[in-house]
Amino acid sequence: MRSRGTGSGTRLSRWAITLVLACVSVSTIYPMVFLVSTALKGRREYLTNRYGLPLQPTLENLQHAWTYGRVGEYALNSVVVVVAAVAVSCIVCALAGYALAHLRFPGRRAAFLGLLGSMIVAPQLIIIPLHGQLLRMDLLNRPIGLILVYVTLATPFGVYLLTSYFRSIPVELVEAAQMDGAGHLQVLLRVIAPVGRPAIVTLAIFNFLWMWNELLFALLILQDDSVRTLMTGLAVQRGQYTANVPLIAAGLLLAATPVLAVFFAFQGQIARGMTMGAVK
Amino acid sequence: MRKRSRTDLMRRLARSGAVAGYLFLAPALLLVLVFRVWPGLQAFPYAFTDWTGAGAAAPVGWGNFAEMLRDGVFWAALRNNVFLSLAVPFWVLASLALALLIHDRTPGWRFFRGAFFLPSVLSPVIVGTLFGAILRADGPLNEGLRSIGLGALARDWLGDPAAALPVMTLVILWGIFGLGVIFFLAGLAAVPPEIFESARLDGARGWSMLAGVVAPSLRHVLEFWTVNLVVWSFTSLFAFVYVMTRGGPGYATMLVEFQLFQQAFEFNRMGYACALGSALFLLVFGVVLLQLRLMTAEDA
Repeated sequence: MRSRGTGSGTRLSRWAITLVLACVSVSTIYPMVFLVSTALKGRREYLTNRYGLPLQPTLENLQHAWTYGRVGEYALNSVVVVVAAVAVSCIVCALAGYALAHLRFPGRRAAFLGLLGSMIVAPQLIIIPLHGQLLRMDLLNRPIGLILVYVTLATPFGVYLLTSYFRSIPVELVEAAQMDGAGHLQVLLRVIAPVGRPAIVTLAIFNFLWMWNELLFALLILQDDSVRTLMTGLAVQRGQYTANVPLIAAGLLLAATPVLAVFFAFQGQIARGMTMGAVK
Repeated sequence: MRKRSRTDLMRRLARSGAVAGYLFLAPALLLVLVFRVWPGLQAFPYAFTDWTGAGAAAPVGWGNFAEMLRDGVFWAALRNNVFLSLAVPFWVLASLALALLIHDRTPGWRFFRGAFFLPSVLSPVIVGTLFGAILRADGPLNEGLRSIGLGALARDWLGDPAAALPVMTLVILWGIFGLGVIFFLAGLAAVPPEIFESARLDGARGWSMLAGVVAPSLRHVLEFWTVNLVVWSFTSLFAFVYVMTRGGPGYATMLVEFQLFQQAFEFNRMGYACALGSALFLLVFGVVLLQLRLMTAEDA
């Protein structure tokens, strides 16, 4: 393919460029290969074959991590929180996005800037008062507490993303539906949601990724061992098994699997979601 | 009369969508007010007390802030934060360089793009724990070094006071540079190819191309990404520190956000931690404002 970019295209420089890119990708891929193959090695094989692929792969570590490492239990807690938070966040942001993009009322612009502006309140500033407030509201150590906090943290960017996308939906479409006697909720469900689906799906994927990966709020809000999320479980246990690298690798691999699956399925969408706001 | 005009007004508002507008906005506004703005506002008064998290809090005036100025740990943490933010230009340039190389449609560019992007979707907990295991004194990196005769270089990478912070910075860079590549690729895709083409015909090469053509066309993305990284270097590295070093050895990798966490939830010094939070807030306030201005540039 012809170069469409910025560099000059002699054959030598092409090879040099490919070599640089190859080296950098080895640096990102090899740790992942190391993670997967270590997770599949028995303790004895890990001692003799440290860097290669497993010659006698075993699922033993994965089973141990799942049951004794309690990855299974923690993963279930994470699924409950993340699925609920992703779903609620889509609803909250779609409602707000529709209002901001297609309804006219006094204070609309102020509400948009206010929601976006709340990002100024850094997480570090709120964790301490928030912790006390959740305690008083009896939301500490209950999944619903973390769900509400995640939805809140996801709101400014989510509203921003959906409002910008919904604005590009022609007013005529919305007005035609209103002429047919549809209420605002019906317009949202029948017109905005189907047409705006790409943006909503992108938002859901983006939220899934950071919520699944998040540590600070999960650690502070769900402290009880019985409700801990997967990342909290791994981070807190970290000290206990430091010598058993294959077991650690197995836990990490299990915890990364949902994220890796989403990554391989939706790479393009994730990239688009994350770069929204930077590229106009 | 008055009553009728009010119902008229209500009807007009309803038709224009005002009632629906406020109703639809209510959940978002309510959540942000209750769980973000209100706790954020409370942090400032707490910063002037000796609150321990339980019982009453006695006011201590500017005591917490005075203590902060004398607190060697705070200064060590601040120095480390500044070190990390000074690394930002290198993070930006590394991502930009890789994006430009990929943008040239080098064979296999799709693969490279995916390979670079992969680490940035992993949790800092996973990245930090994985590298924590790899970098241990008896870990695979050191064994590899010894097996190729470079045993003299082997050390406890995250336990060595001189090496810990630079090594942690590299791990964080590993976890994030690919997202920068994606940002710059998105930016490059939005630049009409003719701009690069005509600059090349005019004889622009190498640095003159980079500084004269590429950087100006990517100005918005460059600003956005740089500002994001600066904010992150002060506020989003908690998980890396928590799983890799816990601020050690000594205070070699202590960051302000981690000190805040320790003061609040390990030493129960909520008041002092709120003072640290307020300081952190003021430190990044200007940068966050810039971030928001960039996001709303078109709407303003």
